[in-house]
Amino acid sequence: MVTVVCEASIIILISKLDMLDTFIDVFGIITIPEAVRIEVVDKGKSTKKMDALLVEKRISDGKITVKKINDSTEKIKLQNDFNLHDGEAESIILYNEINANLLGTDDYRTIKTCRVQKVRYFSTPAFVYQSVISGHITKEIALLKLDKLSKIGWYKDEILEHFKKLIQNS
Amino acid sequence: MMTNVISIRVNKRLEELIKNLAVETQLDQSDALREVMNNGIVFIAIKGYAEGKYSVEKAAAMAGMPLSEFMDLTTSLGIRSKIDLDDVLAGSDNLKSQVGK
Repeated sequence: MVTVVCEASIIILISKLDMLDTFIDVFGIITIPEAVRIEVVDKGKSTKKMDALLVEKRISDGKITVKKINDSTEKIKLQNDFNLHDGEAESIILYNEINANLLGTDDYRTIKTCRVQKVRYFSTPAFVYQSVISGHITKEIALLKLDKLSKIGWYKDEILEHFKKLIQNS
Repeated sequence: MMTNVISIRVNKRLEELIKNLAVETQLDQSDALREVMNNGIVFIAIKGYAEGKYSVEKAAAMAGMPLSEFMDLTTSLGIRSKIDLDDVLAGSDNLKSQVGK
């Protein structure tokens, strides 16, 4: 089984795409650090965000596991060196502590940090594409998800167009 | 809500801008100044995020907003993530190497 740690931005974006269950289907169990739970669930619920309720339910169903990190000194170092916040720094530390296979993120600085630290990261457009390759969703659904991602406006158009072409040609 | 007093000195130009804003928004000067401070903090956070200086979660914390709300705000302003195609493709290779076909 593939062990996947996720930070908050990808959990939120995947939830907004209504793909959280596909995410869980593809990877089995998703692991998040405590700081990500606080950010997505506790803070999200304070503004009545649907993604917060969705993630809270998946945690209570045991589909998303929450773990605490051991090395808080490294957390402060990562935050200072790379201008990250609690959830992003804890995700990278947890990835290392549990020897995870992958780290999911849709944050620019976290991606740059992953590249420096040689952390195997991935982000939402790649996940949508991989879901087609692995047969979890159809090409048509994947293209609809990329359209929705385009409407959300997180990613540059050139990225989404590239992945649309990959999906169409797959 | 409990409030604290902060005294600051402003130059003539800033005083004039606050007065104009108070008239424009029909707020008293104190409320206008509070509005400027609130929005100013959010602006600094958004600008830092858009320039790639802060992570999105750090910028949201600076703005005093939950991450999901901050993400909605930046996208509603037309701000796209600085993530490049190269970054996503490298991530796609990572994903493929671990999940495979």
